[in-house]
Order: sequence, then structure tokens, then C-alpha cells
Amino acid sequence: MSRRGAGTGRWTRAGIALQVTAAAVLAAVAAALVPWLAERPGLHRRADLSAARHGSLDPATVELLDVFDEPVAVEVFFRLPDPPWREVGAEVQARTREFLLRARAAAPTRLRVVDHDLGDVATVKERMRDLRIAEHNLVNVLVVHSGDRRAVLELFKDVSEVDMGNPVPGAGYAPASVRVFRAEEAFAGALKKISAGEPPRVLFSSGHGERDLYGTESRQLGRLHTALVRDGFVAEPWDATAEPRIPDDVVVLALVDPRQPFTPEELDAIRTFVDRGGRVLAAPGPDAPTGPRTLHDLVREWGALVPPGLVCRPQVDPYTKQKHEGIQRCADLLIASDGMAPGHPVTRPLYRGQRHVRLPIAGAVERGSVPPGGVLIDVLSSTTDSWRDLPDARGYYDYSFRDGEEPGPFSLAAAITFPPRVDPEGPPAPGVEPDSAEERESRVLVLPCPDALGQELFDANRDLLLNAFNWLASRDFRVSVTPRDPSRAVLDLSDGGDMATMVRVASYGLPGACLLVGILFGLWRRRS
Amino acid sequence: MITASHLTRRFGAFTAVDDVSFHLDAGEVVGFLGPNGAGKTTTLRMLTGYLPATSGGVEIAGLDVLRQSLAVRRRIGYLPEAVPLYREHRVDEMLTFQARLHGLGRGEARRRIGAVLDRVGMASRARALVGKLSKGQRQRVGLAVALLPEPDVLILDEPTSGLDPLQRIEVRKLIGELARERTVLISSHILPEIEAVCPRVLVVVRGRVVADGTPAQLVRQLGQPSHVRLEAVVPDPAEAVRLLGTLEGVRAVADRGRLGIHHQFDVQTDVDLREDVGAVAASRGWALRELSWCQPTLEELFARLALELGPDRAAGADPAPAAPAPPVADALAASGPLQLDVSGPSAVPPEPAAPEPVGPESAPPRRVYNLNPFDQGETRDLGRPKAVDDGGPGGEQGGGAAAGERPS
Amino acid sequence: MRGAWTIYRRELAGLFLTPLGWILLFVALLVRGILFTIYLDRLGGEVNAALSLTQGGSVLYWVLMVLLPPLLTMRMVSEEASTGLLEFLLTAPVTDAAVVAGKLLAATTFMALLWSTSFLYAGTAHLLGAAPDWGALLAAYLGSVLASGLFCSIGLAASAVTNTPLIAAFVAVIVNVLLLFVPLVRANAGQLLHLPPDHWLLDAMRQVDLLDHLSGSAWVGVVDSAHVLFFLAWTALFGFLAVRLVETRRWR
Repeated sequence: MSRRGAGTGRWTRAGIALQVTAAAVLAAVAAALVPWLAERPGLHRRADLSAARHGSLDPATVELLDVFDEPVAVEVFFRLPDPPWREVGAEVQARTREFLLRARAAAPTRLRVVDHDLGDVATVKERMRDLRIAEHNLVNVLVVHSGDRRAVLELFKDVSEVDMGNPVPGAGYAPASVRVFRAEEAFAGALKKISAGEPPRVLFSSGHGERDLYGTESRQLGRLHTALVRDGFVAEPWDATAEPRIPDDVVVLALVDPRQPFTPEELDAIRTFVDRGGRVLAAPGPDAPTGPRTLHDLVREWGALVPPGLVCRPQVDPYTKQKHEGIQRCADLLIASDGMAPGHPVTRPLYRGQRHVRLPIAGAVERGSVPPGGVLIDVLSSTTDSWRDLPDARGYYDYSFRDGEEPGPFSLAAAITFPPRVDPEGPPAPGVEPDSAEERESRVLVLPCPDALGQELFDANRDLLLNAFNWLASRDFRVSVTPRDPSRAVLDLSDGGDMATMVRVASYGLPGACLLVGILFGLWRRRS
Repeated sequence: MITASHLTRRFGAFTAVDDVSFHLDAGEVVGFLGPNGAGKTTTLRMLTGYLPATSGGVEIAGLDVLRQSLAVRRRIGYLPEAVPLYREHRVDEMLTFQARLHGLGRGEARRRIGAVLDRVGMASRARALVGKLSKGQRQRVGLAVALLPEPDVLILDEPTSGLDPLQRIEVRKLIGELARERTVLISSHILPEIEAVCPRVLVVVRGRVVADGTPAQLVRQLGQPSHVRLEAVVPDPAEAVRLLGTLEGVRAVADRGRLGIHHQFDVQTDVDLREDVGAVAASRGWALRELSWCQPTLEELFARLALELGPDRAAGADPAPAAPAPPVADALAASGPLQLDVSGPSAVPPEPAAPEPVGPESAPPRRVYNLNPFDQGETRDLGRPKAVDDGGPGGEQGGGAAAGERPS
Repeated sequence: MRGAWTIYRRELAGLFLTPLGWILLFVALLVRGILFTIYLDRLGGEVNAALSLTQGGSVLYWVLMVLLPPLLTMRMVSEEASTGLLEFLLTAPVTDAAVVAGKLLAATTFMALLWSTSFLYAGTAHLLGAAPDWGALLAAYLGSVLASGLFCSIGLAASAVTNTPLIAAFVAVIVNVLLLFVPLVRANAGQLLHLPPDHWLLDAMRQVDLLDHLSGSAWVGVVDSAHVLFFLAWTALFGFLAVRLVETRRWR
């Protein structure tokens, strides 16, 4: 009877099912595409409504991400520390992850966060090897990388500072707590580091009894070397016999505790280097021999005098509060923030963070005649109760304040800047963009305390040293971000206080009102 | 106004509507008649665009229902069988909602709501909750909702189902009033209301339109021929047949046999010849027991169509399909929906015996009491009609055994 | 557009004309109020933290988020289909999309009303002298509303699938819970799926990770176009699905 074949209905239905499915699939694709599109940098908008703007990154940090051609990846290698620091570790990790989430949300296309599962040891090891950080065998690090450049942030050093408290139960117990959390600063610093051009080259002089750059003994510089490499420097020893002239691409020359005089050729090379705008970290040993062509002699040319003797200060017994002199520990100086130059790039972050620097067996720096147009700034200084302990005839120190010894305070480190004494037409200063006039200056940091660079105390001075090298290399990676902790609003929880009102309103008032209105409304509807 | 062409709708393997075509002119009122499950609701849903047709198309006011769906929907007032109303709303709120759906302005909506409520007689219940209304009241509210946009086309699906007779009369009256103003399509499986309201009827059986025409046309052409029934004491039946046959306008005279001392004749004619027949009887001195004008009703016809085209049970109850009766439907079905002038061979059967499906021998005798006080209380076969039913023209309300009504 | 607005008004009124709306509102207010005071107590009276817990981050928040929208939307299509009201709406001069959009908006508005009680808590705290971070609360509230919209559209699509409201609610709850499993699976992808942490599948999962989208913006007081669009797009997707499903009802 029907005019059409019996299958028409079925085919129509199949066709419609197909249509619906196709439309649904297309819609799903569109739904996935829209957020993707919305993440594109030009279309992406973020408005932070919170009072403290704690939900977003500093615009400067986001701008840093714009520099990169390929997305920046942050690889997270977290493992919870063992008790009693588990809780504080978890807090730092959670806050870091939360920060990364915010960072990723702020720049979704330019930042990739990969959170590694440290339970999978083999994969993680392999990944660390790929990232060339395996040698550090690190956990709780963030590796920020783009292309083949990377920076490593240690969770409990760069990202946060943890007050370990007093883990011993009983009297004096104090839980560990997060003292400073500065994920954004650390992250921004890392970004700056890996976005900078060629890694600056640092040469460590050798052949005069200097500290060994690769040495692992307590006074050697192995850890400094590692830290420098991780911070984006190329650090190599300078063998003057093989390479009498300092290459043009060297930015910083480090002279750490040479025990013997330099040869005139070496001195010439160093002078030429500095006069062209080179940078020098000079760490003459306070007990090193003095005389012509020594480092002591050399720094005098730049306006820093290193008088003999060790700077000492009385040690305070933490229990009896008594001051002790005459012990060797008096020469082990702990410099608090009051001994730091608040404004100088080398010490500013330390000063802000209320941190300490430890200088064992340090000499003093006195102001000499600075090269014309130069400035000398005392970066670190000792307290007023310090003195300069002089050796006796046999060269021994007694670590006590005697007559004839000079009382403090002393400058313990000096930063000297002066214009390069080279004609403007000459080759530009090494490692510095030729057109940035303000960077065309020579910089010398005199720190007569080579032990501060050594393995043993490296952790205590790590930031100071990295700051110093970064300042010398004109790398200002220490980003300061205004603290944006969420605003606080606290209610009085005491009995009969605000809390009772809150309970009355939230737990009884609103539901009760809702119920009442509902019942009344229903009755009214039914009545008429 | 409404043009349906080759509408077909299948649900899986089941064909609910099969190649239905019809046309309604503006201002026409058409009844859509068919037994339950015949595809009435499906057809109406396709007309409103709620259901798309598997094949075929519908145009309303020249607009394609599926392609210009919204324009069509604005012109249609549709009252589905379930009378969908939000129970939690008041009557006037429901109407306001409908007014907003149709984009009426606030003042216009208020005016129309008042008018339409007056019209359906619900003005006093405007503030009542829909959920508290009786079925009849809800039906009227539903009608008001359908009427509110003042549609050109009104499509009412079983508007009187589930109502008591009184309500039914009210609703029927209301529809009758509406019918004067617009194109109305009413579906129902109940004849009288269609008959009462609609000048034109579409009969749907098993998804096909089997008849289309005015009730009178349908009855005349499809049903049993109208006749004058004469029951009298006749000395010579053959002479009586001959005599009656000479009357003007008589097509045929059937001798229906003897009932006791009476003889029964059916004088087949298109006009009421009772007076003429009565005069014949009087002149011959036949003792009259019955003289009645029998006109087949639409209901009778409908039941026949439904039964003959119905599923197997109809065939089972109808053991004599041999006679030309089944071809009525088949011929109709085969030739598609059409005006009945071309319909089958049994439209005007010369011999009354022809369409009778039930043979007298096959029906078991049943005993009934004759309520006629003049009768002697004899028992008789129920299959044989006794003139206890009034048999007046069109007055056959009892419905029922159309097939068994005419024994030979 | 006008049709959607009309349907929206009707649906919203319908929610409050039936006891269901009031019961849901009452239960949600009660639970949220009690938990807010408990949070407040536990957090030492820190209003901002407690408020942000009522707008996300707490388990209860997600329980409400997963359960309420299906309960609101379960009847919107499936019940109307069985009472014939859907037939009425679909033969009224409004598009199917307008019908779905109106219903979706109504359910979302109800959820928005429910979440907005946080403002009353915040206002009370403000009057008591602890001025909360209104901006952060507003951002978190917007996030909640957007997420509710997504869940409501899922519920609506589920409601369009079946004629039984309870089955619709059940299906929707299942889908919602599955959606919330995504972050869980993502976080443990290494152990569960043995995927490397930079696998593309994880990136794909991040796309549909609600928690990632919320915690990157709304929960830290930020309105982020990408995340807003994520929610709008997926809400639209399920809304579209609901429209198509309503449409296929005509074919079934």
C-alpha cells in the first residue's frame, strides 16, 4: 500500500541518529576549542577581584613569560619530608603547587607544569638525567626550563624558608613553620635567568694556591661551582700560563685566596680586564702573605685596603648570656641584617628577608683611594663590639681584645664601581650590552673572607654569593614582589561574642526564614 | 488552510499513519474520526509540527509545518488530548504564560484572557489553581489556552474525552460556537459530537483515511440504504411486495419474513415514504404494527468501517466476509482517501441481503423478553429485530450490533 | 529570545510554586549555614577562609553541587513529556532551543540564589566588624554559578533522555560524579594509568578538569576569561545536547 519501500523509515531514523551524533560531536569539538581559543594570549583576560590581588601574578612576572619563544615548563619533583618536618613540608609543597596553578592560569599557553610522581623512581631518574640535574640527586626541586636552558629552584631554599622550630618534644618544643614563602620571586628569578642571553662566563684564577674550583674538601669551592652552574653561569678555572689574556667573553674574574703573587703578565691581564669594564670578585685571605703583586696589593689599586688581622667579636653563650672572648669561635662572624647595606643589590634581598651571613676568619676592608669617578660601598659590616685581632709574632691569634687592637665596626666587604678607564671607541665591556650606558662600569667586590665561599659554610652564604656574582655580572634576577597574602578578617570566637550572632543568623535565621516564607507562600497560594 | 499530502509516520516497524492526504479550506470544520489507535493523535501531532512525518508534508496557511515551524505555530491553537496545564499555576497565570509565549502585549493579553475565560465559562475561576479544577473545567481551560492567541486553525484532540455527558454537551456547544469563526479540526472516537458539530468528517482506520465527506454523504453512499419499515398483517406477501414496489421513489422492496402473524418489509427509498406506504396499507386493510423511517446513522457506518477494517478480532466476530461488504472498505482503502461517489459496489445494493454479514442460522437463539404489553411474551431470536427500538430517523443512540441488525 | 525569557520566568516561578523548590532551598540553607559556622569555628574565626569553603573546596560544596542541579532539572523535560506539557511547549511559537535555554537559566538562577547566601554570611561578618574580602567572594560566587550552570545543563540533557524523573536525576548525578573523578584520576595518573606526567591524555583531561579551572581562577578571587568561557562552552554543549535530545523525542 505504501508508496515507498519499507526501509524508508529505518533509513530516515538512522540518518537522523547520524545527524544528531555528528552535531553532538561537532559541538563537543567546539566546546573544547573555545577554552583553547580563550587561552590564546591576545584573547585572554584576567581580572583579580580579591582585595590583596593574591589570586594573580605580578604583571612583571607574566611579562617575563612573554619573552620565551617556546613555552616554559616547570617540572616538579616533590617528596614529603620525614617527620617532624612532614607537615611544614606539605604546607610548602601545597602552597607551591597552588602558586604554580595560579601561574599556569595566568599564562596558560606559555607555561606548562609537569608534576612528577616520585614513587616512580626509574622514570624520575631518567627525567632528571634528561634535564641534566641528575647529578644533584635532588628531591623537592622545581626545574624551570625552556629550550635547553634551565634553572633549578630548591623548595626549601629558593622557594621558601622554613623555621625548623625545636623538634624535640617537651619544653621548648616549637613546631616547624614557614618563615618566608616567596614562590613568585623565585619563579620570576628563574625565568629571568633562563631568558637571559648567553650564560655569563666566570673565571677562577688558579695556579697561586687558590681554592680549587672543583674541590670537595671543606675549604674548596665545589658547591659554589655547582650553584653557579645551576644559576646559569659558566664557571671555569683560569690558567694564566695557558691563556695569558682574559678572553673577551669573560664577565667575572674570581680571585679567591691566592697565596702567591701574580706574575706581571697576569697583573696586566687583570688590569686590562677591569679597565675595560670587567668585574672582579676578590677574596684575599686575611692570613695570606702580603706584598707586591699579591691580591692585597692589587685591590688597593681599586680603593680597598685589607689590613692584617681577623675581625672578631665576643661570642654570646646562648644559655648564660655571657660574652666570651679568647676562643677561636670569636672569629666566626654571624652578620645579621643590621650589618648589611639595605640598598645594595648584593645584600638587599638578605636584608629584606632578615637573613644571616656567616663569615669565618674574615679580614676587614678599609677605604683607600678609589679610581676617579668610582664609588665604594660597604656591603657588610661588623658590630661595634668587634675588634681586629692581630697575630702575635709567631703568627698566632689569641681571639681576645687587647690593647693596640683596633675596635670595630669594620667593613667586611666592599663593593666598588668605577667607570672603565678605556676609550669609548674601544671594544665594549664584556658581557654587557654595549648600548646600556649605566652598565658600562667596572665592578669589584672585595670580600676578604675566602672561607665564606668554601664548601663547609656554603649553605649559609649561598644567597650572598649568588647575589654577588649576579651583581657582578649585571644580572638582576632577584625579583622582588610585593607580598600579597590574602586579607584577613577574623571574628571573635569567644562565648557570647560575634560567633553566637553568626550562628544565629547562618544556622537558624536563614533556613528558618526560608521555611517560614515557603509555608506562608504555599498557604497563600492555596487559600485564594 | 490545512493541506496534508501523503503523510506517513512509522514508529519502528509499526506504521501509525499511512499515506494520509486531505485538505481543509479556510473556515471548514472537520471531524477526525476513528477508533482508538487509528492514528488520529499522530496525524494531529504531525499537523502541528510536533511530530515530523516519516514522509509526506503538511502545509498550514501555505506554510510548511516543519520549515516555517514558528510561523505555523503562531497560527495554530492546539489542544492535545492530555490537556497539558501547569497544575501549580492559577488559571489566569497559565493564560498569561500562553499570551507571553505568543508575544502578546500586556494590555492585549489581559483583554483576551478575560474574553476567552468568559467564552469558556471559567471567568469566575480565573484565580483557581489549575490542579484543583475538575476534569471538565480543566478541559475548558485547555480550550481557553488554545483559543487565547486567536488562531486561524484550531486543532482539538479528543476535546470531550473523560467528560461526563453534561460537560460534554457544554464543550460541544462551545466548539460549535467556535466552528463558526475558524478552521477547526476535531478528533474523536465518539460519533455524536462529531456529527453534531462537523459538517465534514474524515474517517481514519488503521492509519488510513477511509472516508471523507459530509455525514449525510457518507451515510447515503456508504451505509445501508434508507428505508421505510413496514410491519403488518399481510395476506399475500408477494402481492404486497409488488404493490409497494409501484410507489414512486421506491428502489426495491425486501421481504424480511414473517414475525408471528406479522410480515415485515423494508421499502428502500431515498425519501420518507411513510405516508405513501401507510396509505397503501390502509387501502389494503393491512393491520399495521409498525411503520417507521429508518435512516442509517454515521455511527452505524463508522462501526462497520472500523470493524471491517479492524484487526483480526473483527474478522473473528464477523464470520461472513464473503458478501460484498468487505470490499466497501477495501475499495476505499485501495483508492485512497476520496470522495465517496466513487466508492464500492455495495453503496447501493439492490438486494438488502447482500451486505449482511451474519447468517441467521449461525447465530444461536437468545431469549429476551418483549416489553410490548400487546405482545404475548413470545420468545424470539435477538438477531431478529423487533421494533422495540424507536427506529426514528437518526435517533439510533444505542449503537452496537450494526452487523447483526439486519437478519434475512 | 523572548520565548526563552518567558519559559525562564515560568520555570523559575514553577520552582517556587512547588514544595520541591522550597525544600531544596531550606535543606541547602540549613546545611550550608551549619557548616559555615563549623568552618568558622575550626578556622579560628577567619571569615575569608570559611567563606571560600562555602564557595568551593569543601566536600559538602561538591555534594550540593552534584546533587541539587539534577534534582532541579530532573522534572523539567522528562515529567513534562509524560504530562504532555512538553507537547504544549514544543507546539508553542518558541524554538526548542529557547525552551531548553529558559529551563537551564531557571535552574541556574535557583542555584545562584542558593549560593548567594554566602553574601549574607559575609554581610553579617561585615556588620560584626570583620570586613570580608568581597571581591574574592564575588569571584568565587561567579565560579559557583558557572559550575552550577554546567551541572544544570547536564541534568537537563539527562532529563531529555528519559521519561522518568528519577532515572534522569540518577543519570545526571552519575555524570556529575564522573566529571569530578577527572581531577582525581589526573592527580594519580601515574599509578592508575601508568602515564608519564606530560602525556597528552593528561592535558586533555585538564581541559575538563573542573577543579583545575576553578582553583586557577574563581577560588583565588580571579575572574578569568578562559575559565569563564570553559564553563560557558561546556554548558552550551550540554544545552545543545539537550536540545537535540528533545528534538529526537519527536522521532522516537
